Amino acid sequence: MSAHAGAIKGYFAVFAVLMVGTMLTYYAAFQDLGIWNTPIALFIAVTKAVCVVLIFMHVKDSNRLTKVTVVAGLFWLMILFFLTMVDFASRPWS
Amino acid sequence: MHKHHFDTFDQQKDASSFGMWVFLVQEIMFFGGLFVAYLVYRHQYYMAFGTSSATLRVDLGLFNTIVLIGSSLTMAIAVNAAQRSLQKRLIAFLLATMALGATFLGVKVIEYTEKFEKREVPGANFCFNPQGAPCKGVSHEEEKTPDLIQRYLNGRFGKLPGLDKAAEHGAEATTHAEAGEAAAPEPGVPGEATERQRSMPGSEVYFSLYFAMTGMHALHMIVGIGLMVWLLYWATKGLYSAEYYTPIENFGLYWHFVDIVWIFLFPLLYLINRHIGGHH
Repeated sequence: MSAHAGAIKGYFAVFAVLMVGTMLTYYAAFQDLGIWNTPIALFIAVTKAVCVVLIFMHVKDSNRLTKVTVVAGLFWLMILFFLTMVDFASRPWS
Repeated sequence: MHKHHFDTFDQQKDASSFGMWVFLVQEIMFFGGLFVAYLVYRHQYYMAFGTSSATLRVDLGLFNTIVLIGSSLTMAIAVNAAQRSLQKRLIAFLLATMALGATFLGVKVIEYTEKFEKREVPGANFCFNPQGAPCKGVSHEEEKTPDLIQRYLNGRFGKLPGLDKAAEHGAEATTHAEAGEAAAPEPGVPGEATERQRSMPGSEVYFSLYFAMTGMHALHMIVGIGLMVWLLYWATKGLYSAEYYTPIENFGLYWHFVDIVWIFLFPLLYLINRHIGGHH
């Protein structure tokens, strides 16, 4: 991982994707899409986040240890969300 | 160049990078807790969250999103400059990143101040009752965003309700009623609900999460700008080059992480109710 002169182009590409994603999120939020408003907003947000992690944060070109660490972190986050929602959905809330 | 407890420079860099990522995983879990709280209460107070969300300045939120994305780009270029020993460029883009971060925080100040004025900050002075009686001291009319910004830039923000309770209870007690502005919380007559208690159920939870999440996010940015001052100092001393730029690289990871948090905050806090149309 030396040089990196060409990497700048990739950064501008990610920037463009993030801008388009932001505008798309903004536009979609004003349309009545029924139950799909939030899922679409989150889908775009996740896509943007993946771009940032892979390119801006160099995970695409990083070693295996870094990749495993990132995936482990997200996996733990999923456990947090999943178990909380299982509890929330299966309890009698007044 | 590497410290004596590492075999090679690469090994030292890998260890440092791994440490940074472990820290970021901790950050993921920290903000994750806030997002889980949001998820649960969004379901519990679905309507209140939507109604409360509609009071945010969506144009300022969009503006700040763009500013923050821009700052991620300038940061990525700064790291790249360090990797290639382009010292002047590194300094320029660190400064650009700081400027964009400061812009974001400035807009946040305008947004927060308006929330204080409108008594939408959780606490004894809280009042949010879009369908019921108007909150004392709060104008019912929606102020246009350019006017809001202009008023802020002119320094014409009024007294913040609740902040000068002591002054109001003093000499000006008689003019209190006719003044009408700068409302203090009701004195709390026994058996009578306060404005806070009459507020839309769940709205205070939304605003608590709004301030907790954007507040923690803003705090991360303040810390980030502080760290950049330090990086900038060493960059001007010529410490960073293709041989050694780990602090710049690791700080870049931190800054991009903060950007990612906002990527989720913007739709979840500002945009959830826009398709319903109209305020309140």
